[in-house]
Amino acid sequence: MHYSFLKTIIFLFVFIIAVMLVDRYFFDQKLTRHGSVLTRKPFSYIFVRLEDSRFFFRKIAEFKNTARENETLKRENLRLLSQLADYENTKDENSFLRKALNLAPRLKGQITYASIYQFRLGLGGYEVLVNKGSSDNISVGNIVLTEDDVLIGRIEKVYDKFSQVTIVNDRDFSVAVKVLSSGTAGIAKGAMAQGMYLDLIVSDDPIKEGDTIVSTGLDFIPPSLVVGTVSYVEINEADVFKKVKIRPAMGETKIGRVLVISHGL
Amino acid sequence: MGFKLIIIFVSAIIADGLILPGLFGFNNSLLSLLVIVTPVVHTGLTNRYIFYSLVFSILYEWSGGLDFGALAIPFLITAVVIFFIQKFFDIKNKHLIFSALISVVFFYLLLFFYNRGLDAGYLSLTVILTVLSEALILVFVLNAIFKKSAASYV
Repeated sequence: MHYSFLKTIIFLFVFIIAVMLVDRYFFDQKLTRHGSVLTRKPFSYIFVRLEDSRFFFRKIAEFKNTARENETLKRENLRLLSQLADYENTKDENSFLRKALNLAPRLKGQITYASIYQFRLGLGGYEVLVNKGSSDNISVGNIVLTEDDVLIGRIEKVYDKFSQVTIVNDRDFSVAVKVLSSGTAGIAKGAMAQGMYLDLIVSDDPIKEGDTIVSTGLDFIPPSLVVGTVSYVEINEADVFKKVKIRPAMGETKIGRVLVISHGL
Repeated sequence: MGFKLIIIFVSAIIADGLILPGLFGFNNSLLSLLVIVTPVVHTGLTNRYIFYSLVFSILYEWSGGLDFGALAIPFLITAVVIFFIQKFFDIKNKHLIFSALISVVFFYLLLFFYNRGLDAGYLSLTVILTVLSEALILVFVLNAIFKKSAASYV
């Protein structure tokens, strides 16, 4: 029995290694990519529909607070309208100055519309796939974001018809960020299920729970993309740095449909 | 029996990659990977279940765009470890909670072989609790199916 089991295992090892070699050297790894190519269309459709349902049910659940929220929103709306007028003015000025100084727009490069069709935690981190690949001019290092300027991640591997994304929660992901209100800057790093950690925040830096974190544009990621909100701040007397946790904004928005931007600095 | 296991695996793949993140916003499920390890631990290391789990590993790679053998090879190494451990300890325990715990241990071993180390991200409370609860659910489901299958032969 034991002998037979070990024989089976050895046979399976040899079989797997043989198929690996055949796939690599004779089929250019197309055999193994076939499943993702086959599922990308139906799965991206289902993912977007499921996400729509989630947000629909969430809205129904929040319905009872609608009257109170409506009042608050009306007041908020008036305040935002005045800010919008100011913003429009600033935007015009910015555009004029950019033209005058011959600077590129904030999100330069090619924008491709894509859909996420798989989002799961695998053995090597999150396995997130988008339905566009090298045939759609996607390349490694492209930035993935939502239409609301929420940062999702970076393209890690590109195949012919699909691409793999390293999302902000991944441990391999880091981005230069700042706190929107105070300008406190640091490096946000992925911490998987924990969200993200904000490094290099000294104890004197002003930062509090609920602060919005945005990208600075000092690395390969465009500026002013929403990364998340501060969910926890721990100050340790013995430590020079604060322990700051970020809840990625990606979890609060729809991520089914995304934009992929080629190197946009 | 094999057909039921395939149904469980395909459901787990769809739940992990689509339903849980899409419908519930939950991205930390590892159910499909547990379906690869748990039957081998729960029902005993036989050629038949090694074959099923290997096919599931290949399907997992195939659906996720992973390299061929990326998961299958670590799984076979884990199976060899389970084989040698089974020689000294009876891990095919009747107690469901024990079975679930052992499945989690071997899941982490698979993780260790895959990453050639243990990533701290998988040791967070959220992930451990998720893996534990999913392993428990899976063991209960497998137990129900196996009992029914065994009864149908009587």
